[in-house]
Amino acid sequence: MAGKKRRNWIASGALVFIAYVFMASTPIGRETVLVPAWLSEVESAKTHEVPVSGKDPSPMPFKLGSRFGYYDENGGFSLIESLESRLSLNEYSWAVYGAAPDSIDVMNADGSRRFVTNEQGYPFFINDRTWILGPEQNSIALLNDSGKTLWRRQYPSPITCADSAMGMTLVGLLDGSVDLIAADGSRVFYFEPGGSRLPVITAAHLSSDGRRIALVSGVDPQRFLLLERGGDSYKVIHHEYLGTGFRRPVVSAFVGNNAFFAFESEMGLGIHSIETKKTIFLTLNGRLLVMQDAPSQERFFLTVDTGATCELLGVLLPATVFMRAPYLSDEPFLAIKGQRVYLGSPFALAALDILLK
Amino acid sequence: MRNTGYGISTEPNLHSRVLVLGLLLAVAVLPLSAVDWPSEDTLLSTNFGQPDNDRPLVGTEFSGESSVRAVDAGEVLFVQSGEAFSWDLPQPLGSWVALDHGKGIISVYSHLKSAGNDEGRSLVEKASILGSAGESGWIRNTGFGFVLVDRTEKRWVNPAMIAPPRKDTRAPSIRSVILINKDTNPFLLSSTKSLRQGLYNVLIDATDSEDGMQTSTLAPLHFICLVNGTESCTLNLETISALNGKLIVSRKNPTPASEVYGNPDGFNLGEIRLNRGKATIDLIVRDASGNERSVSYTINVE
Repeated sequence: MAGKKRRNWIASGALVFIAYVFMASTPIGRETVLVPAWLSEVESAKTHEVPVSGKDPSPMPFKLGSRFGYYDENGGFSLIESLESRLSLNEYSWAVYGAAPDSIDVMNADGSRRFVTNEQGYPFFINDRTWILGPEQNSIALLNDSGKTLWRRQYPSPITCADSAMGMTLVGLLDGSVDLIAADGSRVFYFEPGGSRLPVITAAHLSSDGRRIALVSGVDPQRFLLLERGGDSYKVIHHEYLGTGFRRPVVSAFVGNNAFFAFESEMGLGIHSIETKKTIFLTLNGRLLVMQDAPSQERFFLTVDTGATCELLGVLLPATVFMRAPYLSDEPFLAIKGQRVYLGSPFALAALDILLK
Repeated sequence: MRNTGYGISTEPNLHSRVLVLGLLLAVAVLPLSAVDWPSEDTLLSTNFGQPDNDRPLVGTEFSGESSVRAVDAGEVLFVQSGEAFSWDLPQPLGSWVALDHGKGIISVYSHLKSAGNDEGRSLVEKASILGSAGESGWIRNTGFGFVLVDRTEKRWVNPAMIAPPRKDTRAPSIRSVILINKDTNPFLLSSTKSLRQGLYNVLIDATDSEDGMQTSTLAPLHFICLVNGTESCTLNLETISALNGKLIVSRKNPTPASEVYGNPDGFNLGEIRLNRGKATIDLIVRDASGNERSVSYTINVE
């Protein structure tokens, strides 16, 4: 009798299992893989004469080893130069300058001269705009398209970070304050996050729509703060503590079309969802070097220095690591455009296609 | 107090008052105990308050190879190791380290050969080596920069106010004194016998040096202008603050630095009023070691 009951139980269990297998099964998800597209040597490369019709309208900047310039999607170099001094570079502009230059030639991506500026300091570029950070790193000036100084602001401590969006400039300072400046040079918003034993701004970002400010501030404890515009000012909508914290610039960025803010912390890579106000931390195997957003794909990439090698990580938002790939390089170069990832070494630039297989 | 000037008629009591005031300010500014210089053997190449184009330098720069030491015990606040990536914020300070000394005082050491990293080091003892002089950032020769920040008061502090006096037996030099009237006409006082009564801005070209320096390019610490024995304008380069995006220096009243440094012919000490009759104009310039130079001019005011 007991044996019959047992057989019935086993038969029922087997039926349930078979039914589950057939009814609940789904196809195995496709995996994201990186497939090599091309590899271009940079040491021996020369600028290609590209016909205007075949020109990439937005060549991408690179600096690898002692070379810098712009490359296109096919691995050709629309501009390549040797570097023997200091360099500021972005997708629109570049400038090479000495230690204490009297004037600086700011160049377009195609190698033509954009303007010459006599404003003292080092240039930096965000989109098509140019700022000059003063010789003592305590002033910042915005230049117009002809290199004339539109405004200059001076501060009571060194500048540690800066960002820009919607015509505004955000400046973070060693004294633990941030200053948001309007396009005309007037102050929009001033803020001292406090809440830490040692105030300092280690990262400051403005979302591309200008609605939000994200800060990593202070030491012991370090804090992440998110501020949102309300009327004429910005208000803190979220903050959290990050342990003792880093005493250096913190790698961070708005990602996923401003829906998330990613930042390095002692707990790993923090990814904060602005909608849910929750932060998920992903473990990193080393120090975060560079982070690059791929806005249309709801994912971003980062490179981590693991000691002997670098590691490329792909993160699917909100917080799923969908790929990890170790590679050898001394250069923290990483760029994303469309469905391609670009990595570099001092000698070569490589493109890898992101494919689902 | 040494007096190396010529044709002078000044009030010793005023000198003493200024010195005492300076010391009191130094004590007020500096919660730091005994602060040292970050290097003993290197010469200054630029100093606090020195004109640089149309603005004052807020830091002090040392030239030559040397180790860079913490001026007092503190805690590592921020380290920028190496020059920034080409697409990041550039670093005119090069490789630099900032130490927090408590009570809002921060010291910054810049242009280092290497600033190390922040991992595993937080507390720093006085005279600990932070790095060595380098060529990183905005610097013309091997050396390093040093600045003091008063975070609480939002100002830069002249380190000469609190560090021990340097080897400096040289008095500042006064190259010229110019009065500028409301029509911006300049009058070089050394060759002016008479002036119309009215308001004049005092422009003084004065520099300083320390023992061993080949040139005299440093900024003195205090400037005083007396008209007929009465203090009419002053400039004290003890601290430089920032307000609304502008650097502010201390003349008789807080004044935008652009007003003081806007003329390449010298420091603008502010306005004096000359009334009809004989006027004696005394200018006294003092450095941080107490060396002093003064000049006196007598003119007829019509």
